[in-house]
Formats: sequence, C-alpha cells, structure tokens
Amino acid sequence: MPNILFDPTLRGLAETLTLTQRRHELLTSNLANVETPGFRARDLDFGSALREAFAVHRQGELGELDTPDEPHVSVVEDRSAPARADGNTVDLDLQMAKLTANGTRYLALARLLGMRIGLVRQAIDGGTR
Amino acid sequence: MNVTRIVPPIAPLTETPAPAAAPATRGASFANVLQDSLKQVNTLQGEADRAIESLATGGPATLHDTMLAVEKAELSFKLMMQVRNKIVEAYQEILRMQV
Amino acid sequence: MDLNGTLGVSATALRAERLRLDVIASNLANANTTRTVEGGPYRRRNVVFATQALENDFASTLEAASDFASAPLAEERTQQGVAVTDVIDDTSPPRMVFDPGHPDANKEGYVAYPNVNPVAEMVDLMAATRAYEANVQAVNASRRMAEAALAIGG
Repeated sequence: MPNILFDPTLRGLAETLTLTQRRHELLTSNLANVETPGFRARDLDFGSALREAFAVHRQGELGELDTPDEPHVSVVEDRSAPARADGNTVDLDLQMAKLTANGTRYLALARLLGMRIGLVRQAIDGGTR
Repeated sequence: MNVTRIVPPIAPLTETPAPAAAPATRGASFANVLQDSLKQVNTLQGEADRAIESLATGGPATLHDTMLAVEKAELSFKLMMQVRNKIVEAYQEILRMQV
Repeated sequence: MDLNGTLGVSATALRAERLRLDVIASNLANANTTRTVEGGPYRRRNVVFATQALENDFASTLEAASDFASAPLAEERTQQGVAVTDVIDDTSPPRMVFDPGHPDANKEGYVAYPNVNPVAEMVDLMAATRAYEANVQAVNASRRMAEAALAIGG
C-alpha cells in the first residue's frame, strides 16, 4: 500500500523549492552587487535538474525513507548581459525580472505543497471529521 | 470463550519485529500496520526534531523543509492514532458480539 | 528566519547605497564651496564598493560541519553582500574660474572651484537610487517567500 506521507510529488516539490531558494540567494547577491566594480552576475544552471527532482522519485528507485542525492545544479556565471566599463555584468532590469519570476515560482510551489499536505491531512482526518 | 483465538494478539509495542520468512507472507494485519505506523512516527519525529534544531541554530535546513518535516511528523502521528482507534473499535466490536 | 540570510545580503546593499547617496549629497551641496577648513576648495568624494561574503550562508555552514571532504569554493558561496570599503577623494584638479574680485581668487585672479560636476553627480544619484529601490524589492520578495513557506502548515 503506497504511503501517503511519502508521495513523490511532495518530495519533488520540496526539492524544487530548495533549488528555487538557492537561486533566490544568487539573484539577491547579484542585486546587492549591482554597483560593485568587476562583479560577475551568477545564476543556477537549472537545465534538467528540475525534471530530475521529480523523475527520480516517480520511478520508485528509492525506498520510502531513502534520501536521494540532490540533483546536480551548479552555480554558473550569468552571461546574459555584457560587462560595463568597470567589468560589472549585473543588468539591473534583467536581474529584477528574474528575481520576480523566481519569487513567484517559489510562492506557487509553496502554495502547492501546502495544498498537497492539506489533502493528506484530509485523507487522515476524513474518517472521523 | 477465549477471544484471543479469534483475534491474533497485538504484539507488544517494544518488541522488534522478527524478520519475515518472505516479504510476501507479511500480511496487512492490524498488528503489522500499527507497528509500521509507530516506526514511521518515530522516524518522522526524529527528522522533524533535527530540522527544527538545524533551522534554529542557523544550520543548513531550509524553512520549507522544516515546515514540511513538522507537518509530516504531525500527520503520521494522526495516522497512527487513527489506526489505533480502528483497532480498538474492531476489538470492542468483537467483544460485543453475542455468541 | 529569512531565506538563508538573503535579508542580510539585501541589508548590506541598502546600507552601502545609503552611504553612497550621502556622499553624492555632500558633493552636490558643496559644488561651489571654494573655501574649506583644510584650505582650498571642496574635493569631490567617491565611495569604493567591494563584495563581502556573508558568513551565515550554506557554504560556510558546510565548512563548519566539516563532514564534507571538499568545501565549496569562495565563488560558490551564494551569499555575497556588498560593503563600502573606502571613501576616497577625487584627485582630479579643481575647476579654475577667472574671477579676480572673488575673495578666494589667487594671484592670477583665478578661483579654484570644486571638481564636482553636478550632472555627473545626478547620474550617480539616479543609479544609487535605482540600486537602493531594487534591493528594497529584494527584501520584499524574501519576506513574501518566507511567509509563504511558513504557511505550508496551513
């Protein structure tokens, strides 16, 4: 009987939230250094890491209580914008746009996670309440 | 009459389960389900405790992971209580049976 | 309880940009100060920004835990704030204006005005303001995200 507390979607959501948070940290650092000479903007190399976060769990490769290795995501230089005269590559508008989009994604994922937990809670309470 | 011959005795909670002869023969008896529930409660409570401590002391635990761990611990406890209640209900139902 | 110290990172930026705004304001206010306490005209000042890694990020936590064989490189530290490491004088020469009647005129009749270009200062002012506002947005984002995470429990 599959265990409702170990729903692979829960794990996938949690890992994606972690990745989104790491990205938020990088973007925040970029914005903090928008005027720092020579600072190179950074981002996460998401690529397939997001899909990995869900796929690994769904295939059932893992036992219920196993913790998988985190999907490999690396911190890379963000080359979207050219360097200014002092070598700084932080494009304020671009980074703000990324921050906003990434933040919205985090809010959506957190909401979804809460809803999924709510469903599990209902399933457990359902009999008596 | 001897009720214990109709309902298998529920194993004491402190007893570690003997390894099953083969996984297929491990049925979903009340005893097993309750035991699994309790094991899970322990595990998840431990994870939640660790996450809380890590978060409180500035460790690597993230906010969402900690919230999730606490939720899962609470829900597993609720689940275990439901299982326990069902078992008690079933037991009482059987006791009420007129023979 | 912010997303791993991101509030701290943004706070360093707000502090640094505020300081920069103060210096720009001082430059603008003294654009025509021909006589200072130290003698001579006011000298334009400038701030020096440098990246400052914050200590409470995940990378340093990993290092402290010392369970891991390879500690993350400095470049991988996600939490990089900023700091004003110095406030330096602009050493470009003062603006000489011919005005023999001025009390601060030199022997040749020239008055040394500060090397402050108000237009350039306004450009800097706008850049500093935009940077400040952007980091305020970052603070708001961090706050909203933390609130969303806290609401996971319902």
